[in-house]
Amino acid sequence: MTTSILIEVEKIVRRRLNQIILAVMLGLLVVMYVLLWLASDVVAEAGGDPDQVAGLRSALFLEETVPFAMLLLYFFGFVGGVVAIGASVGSEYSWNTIRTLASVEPRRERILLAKLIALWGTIVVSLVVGLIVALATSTVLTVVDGQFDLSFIDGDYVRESGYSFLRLLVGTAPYFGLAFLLGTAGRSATAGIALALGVAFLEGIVSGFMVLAGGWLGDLPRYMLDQNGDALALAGGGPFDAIVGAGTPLGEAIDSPSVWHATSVLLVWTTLFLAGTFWAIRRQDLEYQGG
Amino acid sequence: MLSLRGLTKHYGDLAAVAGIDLDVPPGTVLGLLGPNGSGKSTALNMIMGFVRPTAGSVSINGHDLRRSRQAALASVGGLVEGSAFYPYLSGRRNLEMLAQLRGLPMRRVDEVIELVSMGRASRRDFGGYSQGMRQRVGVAAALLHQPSLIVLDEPTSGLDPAGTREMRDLLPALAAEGTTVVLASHLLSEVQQVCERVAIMQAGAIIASGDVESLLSRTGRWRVRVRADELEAASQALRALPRTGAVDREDRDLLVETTADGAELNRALVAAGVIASELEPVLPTLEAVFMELTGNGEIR
Repeated sequence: MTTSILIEVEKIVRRRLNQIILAVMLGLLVVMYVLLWLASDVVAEAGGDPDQVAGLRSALFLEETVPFAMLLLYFFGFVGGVVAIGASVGSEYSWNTIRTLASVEPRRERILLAKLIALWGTIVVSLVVGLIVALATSTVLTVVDGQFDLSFIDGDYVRESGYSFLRLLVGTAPYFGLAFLLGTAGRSATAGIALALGVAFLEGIVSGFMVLAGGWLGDLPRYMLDQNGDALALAGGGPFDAIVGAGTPLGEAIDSPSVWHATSVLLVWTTLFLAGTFWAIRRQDLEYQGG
Repeated sequence: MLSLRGLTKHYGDLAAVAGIDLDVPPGTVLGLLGPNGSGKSTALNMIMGFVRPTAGSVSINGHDLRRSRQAALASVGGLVEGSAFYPYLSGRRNLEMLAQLRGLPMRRVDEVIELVSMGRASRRDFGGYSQGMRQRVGVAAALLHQPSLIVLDEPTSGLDPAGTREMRDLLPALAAEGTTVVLASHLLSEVQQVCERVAIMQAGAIIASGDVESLLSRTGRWRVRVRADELEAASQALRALPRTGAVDREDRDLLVETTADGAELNRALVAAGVIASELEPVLPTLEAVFMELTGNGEIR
């Protein structure tokens, strides 16, 4: 199994698409920091609300940047991870390499397990790299602002950062599981990527309407992905009310789930998606797909 | 030893493979023939474990594929419907990965690369290979773990003449070492040269099978080409002979369907006052047998 996992890791790391995804994710992280820094300057120079400017800047500086970094990683990591997983799984079908693998390892679920571990492991490492880049960018901005001071780093800071990272992993897990399922069941990268991203974006809209409809329909989104994902992404605090539509009728209507509720629901969904994936590959006929 | 019993695959109402029975003894090269859509590839896919049969069984070296999947497939190598590897890795690295997964030493990769004459090209990315090079990697992968059953679907497709010849030499050599080879090909002359046994499929069923020789003698027409100046007189004389069927004219020759020997034919021609300048047996070909059995390769 170790050999299978290491080979899967090599396939992921050496694929140009994945290298580009990581580069884009890291680039966007830096760009977002710089853009918000410049935006806060513009707001300040235009005589904007000093509290708003301070709130914006505090998210960029080292002491309070972890929730902001996690939020950025949640979005970029989620999209990048879904693309990487969908492409990785789907390409095995479009290149017919799933047949080559199946001829070497007749127990197909082992092929999938090795791929799952390798992909998730690579994504976790990529998110750690993303966090390091975000913290490095934040450090530069903090130094430029003349506020560099590391005295705030204590056990609580490290522990809360660790929890934030775990929440990030749990929050993205069901989408990764969904990409895995759809890439396998749909036998193509397009199915894995497009459908998983489609579900992710559409579910937010649909669940919004369900909440506004109220009643039992309004309660359902508490057991779906979007609300629970947002609950985990925003659990670290920070000036991100706009993301859940605070101040709007929808924002007021949402009773944000607790971290434990969100974690439980998302893990159940992840398990269901993965179970579906393993069920699908066991039953599939691996016909040649041309090419 | 490969054994198929009542092997069936349905896609909805379509029976792609309709209950075929087949035994291929160890060390045999079996040619699997059939028109497009006859069910050859589906049958090979089921033997390779890629496609699940609707009914029936596949047994490889005594291991039932459904019950002892891992044991049955451990000794199978194959190239069915084209080779499939990671385009951004070299041919060699692709093979090395398969060797690692099978727990084989890396020197085995060198051996198969040499066997399929890939040389330094094996270090280039698979995505940049020609069709022939891809086939070579596919065959190398099939041979990597020295399987006792090799399933090859059009293995010479895209190969240059030298590669085709190497493949033609390789298969009997493998059989001589005890490897069972199942070869599907549309190149009937190639099958006739390489295979000892053939099975002909049409509409999902095996319509003929057996040794190539017996199949040729059972269904093939033995003909003699007669070259003479007076073809009309020759034609009348030959038609009068017992054990002689159709006598057809082809350019300046006659094609005589007969089991009479050359001396008998010559005697009849001389008696009719015809001097034959050439009498040449036209041996039955697998192509002729195939066309006859399948109704000119009709797709059903």
